[in-house]
Amino acid sequence: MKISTTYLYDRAVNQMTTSQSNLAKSQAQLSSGKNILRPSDAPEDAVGIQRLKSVIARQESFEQAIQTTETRLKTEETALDGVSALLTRLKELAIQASNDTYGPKDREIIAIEMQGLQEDLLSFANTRDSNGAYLFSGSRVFTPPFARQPDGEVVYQGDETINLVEVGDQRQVKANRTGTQVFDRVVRTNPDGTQFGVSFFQSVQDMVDAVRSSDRNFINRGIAEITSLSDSVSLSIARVGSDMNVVSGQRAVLDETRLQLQTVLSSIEDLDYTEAVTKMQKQMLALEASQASFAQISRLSLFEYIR
Amino acid sequence: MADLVSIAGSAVAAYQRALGTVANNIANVDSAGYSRQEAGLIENAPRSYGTSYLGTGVNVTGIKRLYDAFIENSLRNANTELGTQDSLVNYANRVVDIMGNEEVGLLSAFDQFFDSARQLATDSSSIILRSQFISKAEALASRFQGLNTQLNLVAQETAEALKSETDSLNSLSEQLALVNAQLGKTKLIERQPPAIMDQRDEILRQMAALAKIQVQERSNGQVTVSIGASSSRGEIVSGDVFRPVTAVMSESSVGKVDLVINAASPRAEAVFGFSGGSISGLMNFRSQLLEPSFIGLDNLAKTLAIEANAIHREGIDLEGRNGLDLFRIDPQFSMVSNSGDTNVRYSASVLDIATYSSNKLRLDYRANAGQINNVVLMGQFKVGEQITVNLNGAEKRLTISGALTTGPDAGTNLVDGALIDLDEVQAQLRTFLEGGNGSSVGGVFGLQINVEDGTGTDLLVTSDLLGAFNLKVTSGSEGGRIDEIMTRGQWTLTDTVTGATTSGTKSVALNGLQIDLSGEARDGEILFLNIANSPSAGLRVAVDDPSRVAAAARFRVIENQFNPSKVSASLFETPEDFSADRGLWLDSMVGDAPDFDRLDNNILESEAVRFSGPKATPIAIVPAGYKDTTLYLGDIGSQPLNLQIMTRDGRHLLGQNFAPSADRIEEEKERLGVSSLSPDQMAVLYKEAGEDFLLQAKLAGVSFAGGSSYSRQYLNTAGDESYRAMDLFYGVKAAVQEIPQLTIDHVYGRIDRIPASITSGPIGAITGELGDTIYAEGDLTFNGVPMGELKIFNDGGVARLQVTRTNDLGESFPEFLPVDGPAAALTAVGGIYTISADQLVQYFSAHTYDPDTSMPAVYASGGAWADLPRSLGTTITAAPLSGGGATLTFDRTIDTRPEALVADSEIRIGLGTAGRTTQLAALGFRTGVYLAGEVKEDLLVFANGLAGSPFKLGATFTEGDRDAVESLRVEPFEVIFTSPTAFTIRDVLTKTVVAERIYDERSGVLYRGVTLRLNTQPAAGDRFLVDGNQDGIGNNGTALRLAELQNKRVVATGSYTLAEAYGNLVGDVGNAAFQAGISKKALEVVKDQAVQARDKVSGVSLDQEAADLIRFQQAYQASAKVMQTSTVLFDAILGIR
Repeated sequence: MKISTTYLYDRAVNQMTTSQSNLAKSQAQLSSGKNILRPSDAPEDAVGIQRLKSVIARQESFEQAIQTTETRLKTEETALDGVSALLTRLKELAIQASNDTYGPKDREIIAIEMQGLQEDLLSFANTRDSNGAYLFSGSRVFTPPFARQPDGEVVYQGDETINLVEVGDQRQVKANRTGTQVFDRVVRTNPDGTQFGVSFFQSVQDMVDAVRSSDRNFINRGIAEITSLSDSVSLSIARVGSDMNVVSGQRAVLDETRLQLQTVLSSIEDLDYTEAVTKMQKQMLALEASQASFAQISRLSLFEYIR
Repeated sequence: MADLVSIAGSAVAAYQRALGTVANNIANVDSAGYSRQEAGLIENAPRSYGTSYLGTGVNVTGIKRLYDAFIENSLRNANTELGTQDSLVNYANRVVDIMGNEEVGLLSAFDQFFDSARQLATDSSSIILRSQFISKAEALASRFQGLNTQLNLVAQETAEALKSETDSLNSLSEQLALVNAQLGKTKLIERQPPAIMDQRDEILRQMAALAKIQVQERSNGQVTVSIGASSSRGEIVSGDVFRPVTAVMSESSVGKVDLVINAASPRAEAVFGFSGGSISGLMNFRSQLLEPSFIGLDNLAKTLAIEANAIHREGIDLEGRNGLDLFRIDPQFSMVSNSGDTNVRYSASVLDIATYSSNKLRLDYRANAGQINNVVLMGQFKVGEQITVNLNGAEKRLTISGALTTGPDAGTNLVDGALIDLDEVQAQLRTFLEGGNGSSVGGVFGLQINVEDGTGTDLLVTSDLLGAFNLKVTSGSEGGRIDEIMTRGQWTLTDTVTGATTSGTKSVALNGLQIDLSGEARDGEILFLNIANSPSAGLRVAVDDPSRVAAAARFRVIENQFNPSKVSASLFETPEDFSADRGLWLDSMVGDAPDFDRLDNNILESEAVRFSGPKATPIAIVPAGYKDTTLYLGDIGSQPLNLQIMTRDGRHLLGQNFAPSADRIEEEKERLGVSSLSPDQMAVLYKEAGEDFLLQAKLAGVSFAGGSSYSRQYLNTAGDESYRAMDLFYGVKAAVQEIPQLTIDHVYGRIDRIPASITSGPIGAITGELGDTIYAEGDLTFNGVPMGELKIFNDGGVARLQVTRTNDLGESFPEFLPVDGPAAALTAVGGIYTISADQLVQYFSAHTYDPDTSMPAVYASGGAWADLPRSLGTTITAAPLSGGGATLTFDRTIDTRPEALVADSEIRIGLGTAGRTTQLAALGFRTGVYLAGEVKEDLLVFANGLAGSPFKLGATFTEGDRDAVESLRVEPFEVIFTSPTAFTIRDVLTKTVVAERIYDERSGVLYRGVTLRLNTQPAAGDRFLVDGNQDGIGNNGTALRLAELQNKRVVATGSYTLAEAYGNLVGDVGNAAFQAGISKKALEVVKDQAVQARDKVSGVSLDQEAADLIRFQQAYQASAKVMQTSTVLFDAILGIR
């Protein structure tokens, strides 16, 4: 078959251009360390990479949420520890006051201290976080959860909203406890057997009043109630603790997930250097071969021999 | 000898030419389009010598151009195919690289936006996080804009490429025409100069790369070139004439590009079925890849805006306000007026993103046309009066006559001169307007209709209530007056793509877009509005104040602080789904369902639903939000049939007590040891029967709320005790009619009120024997007063009608009728006494208060007459009918006292607890259920009774929609546990007990779209208030929902998430590019082969030429030698001496 001179030259040029552009691409891959230089090189993989990155970004965003939640839980824990200590002190004082050896004067002094402790309890109940939002008022974060009315009664002003925070795909944790959960009611029984609830602060106030008026029955009832209140605060502390456990467990899960995803991502996105270098060697060889062969072939002309 | 010389001479000459040809070949080894040439050598005709022939040498027949038409054609095709793929691949890769880029593409922006929503949820009151959320939303919107801009650049670039390629094609056409002209000088293709033929083929090859061309060659080598599917059309070069091709881009769609030949001339020709070549590749790219990318991107922007807005609007911001739209779409227009400069100013906004389209719009202004915002019919019109209606130049005179067509008394004939009010006028007009005399839009009632204004210009007349028409009263009327408010200057907005139109005077709305116009327009002015940006380019964040980010949920629960248990509650929105019984909603009950004919707001009795008999399942459902609904029973015959209205919680609101069986009554009597049961004892049985009914209905699959129970606490109650303060009534009712104020922007100070009035149909035979009770006490109620017993009393052998009235202490006072005159005696026919219409009037009158005679209805305690304003001023009259029988008419004056209630001016004939619908039917009335105002929750309508024969149900209503969730925000409810396993739900505002249910801890408390869940077992006395979250700014419910949108499948009817949809978009373009790339490689091989095939024939190989050179040189030298030899021979002969 006849090969025209133009065709011979054109083809040789084409082949060398192709080899050179392959080589340039390999070189760019090597210098960037990426398998896919432009999305158009492998559209499916490029989209896949972005999806993976999106999932990884979501895991990172969950970690941020975990960070915030942990900070909040720690603040709650601190406040609750304070409340617990105060309740213990209150109980000690009440037991002291129930002692027969104390006279009304002594009890008056104890009552004054207890009153002060109640104020401290109130200020713990109205703890704020770093943003100035109240911890225990549900979603009414700018309203102090517990406020003393002119008649001395302490009223809960928050609501029962419990905010959930996403800490993982399909994983939400409670981010707060409401005032009524932490500062629980006590249940008293009427003479007719029916029951009614009494608020946390009212119960404490009732005991202070009982100590002040040396009413032994009410002091004893108060001691029992403080025990129950103390229990429910302890329960809240335990819940905060378990929430923190959940959150840190979730952090471990997220780290693991992220690692796995990173591995998958790397296998698609990152360049296999051994393979790439080998490939480049091969391409260089091919280019050199075609250059050398062209140089040889182009000399083969009949005119060379016509002397 | 001479022969030898001439032979050698011819050979030398021939080989000289052959060598010349070889030299030319070598010279043109690199010339584009050059075809190798060969000198054709042929033996000269031999000369005969006796019996033998002697050769005479060689001759050159011609210089042949080596050429194969078939190969040339396949090379052109290969060029075309490759050109098609080449441009597609280049631009598709551009798009993939733009959209798939991490910094430009949407995926990372989506991630950051949803991430910011998630962070906001961790501390939703934080202004910093809120600001971050807004800035991430803005980043997302600007990413959309950026992508749109990039794609627009590609669109512009391809448009320019198309222009330059068509220009190239045209310039090639022009050259080819010149070549054709050259070729035309010779008749035979063989005589054509090879250089010109080469030029022709080279031009054709270049043209083929640009477009798929059909080439027809004439005998002299001239070619005709055409593009498109048909070879007879689409000629671009023919002889020495060429016709330029122009690519015309559509303004409305990126993908639509038309090729037009001779675009500038009046004989422009569109090219059909064009394919192949780089021009077609560009067109394919625009229609198959670029346009879908734009559409996909726009859809994503719209979906994002719609979904995020829907969630955000359901949220509450930092100041307790309802959330607004989070995203909006800002359209940008370019406006062109048909008259150059225009004074018209406009502003546009997108009202509805879902229907928003960026089609080109056209606005037509007509100064003399206009719109009547308002047609007010004041007062009443008389029967016999004429109203003239002008529609599109056709005039119709309506004479007010005939029968009442609306209301419960439809069908009653009106006497000439009787007053008729607006409803009837409307109904008659409506018939006329619906008869197709109306507008181009089909004359549908209530739409705008064009009306001639007498000067040849259309005049648009519309009214909210009456539809559109031109009205004037032609005969004098005292009460009737027609007022119109007219605004002149009407704009008609047309979608140039779909052809949809709408009209208005200052503001027009179409395609989800509202355009407000101002400034002086000229009559006949036309404005073209081109929407310059598609939705993805117009996407903006509508919230700029961080405190307006609605991160909180709409509801919250508040525990009562004195709750005996330590349970804590949480709240979720869980929309209730009652779609199972959607077919029973009043508006759905139309058409071909086998059970009924029609119930689409029917007015005529003939259109009422026909049922085969009473049912345990609802016969209809009045959905929440419906207004002023009336349901009535028709054709009940003698059936003891009742309508029963219940809520989905088993609250029995209207109807009759469910009857216990006779056996059950006997059993109860025996158990209690009594001969008859007291009302309280009966109530227990009624409740039992109701519970039984509810159970049966639940078993039949009726959608009652889970755990609901039966209650008759609100059965037929009124006033303060009524259910959720709704005005519900069972019986016959007539209300004061107020002439509607139809104004939109024009308010009248006066409201005309027409007193309540009701006329019965022909009354039936009400008969009895001596001693019979016609009506037991309380069978009927009249304006809220239970009516006394009516009895045919045996007064010492004389039959008299006796009514027993009761005072407010419960003491009974029997009296003969009429109570205000001497007692009348009755006469019997065959021992049967018939109660006349006049006697019925007397019976009803005994329960009214007549202001003229000061005759009160009932005795008050202490003997004084009680003043009962609720019966004030009711006049009852009987009118005989011409064909026998009679009707009853009740009229009531309007109670104008300031403290008067609405009911004080109404006429209400109700059924008491033991009354029967047949009793009202005998009085000529249809029993109805009247639900005044808005229905606050779904009401189920049951028909129960003993008989099974058919009856009818009719209805009138105003459709409405009540957002269960939004209404809940203003109507808080309280869940009160009566025991650990049962609770009641109380409407806080009206203190109505709306539900009593069994508590199931698995499903929690589901009420009106919210679910209350408790963490442990509740105790009796626990109370939980659920209200609209007015100040719960620390709530993060909505922020969470926004974050969850990331994983919600919202695109393509729930198939993909936003990010997935975008990924698919990139993937689709990528795949197309990838495939085009593969076929491009394959086609390169094909072209390579075609080039090789051509070169085989037409290419110049230097080796070959070298060989030829040697060959011809040697032949030349040999011939010269022959010549020399002949000289030697000649010399030899000369030398013979």
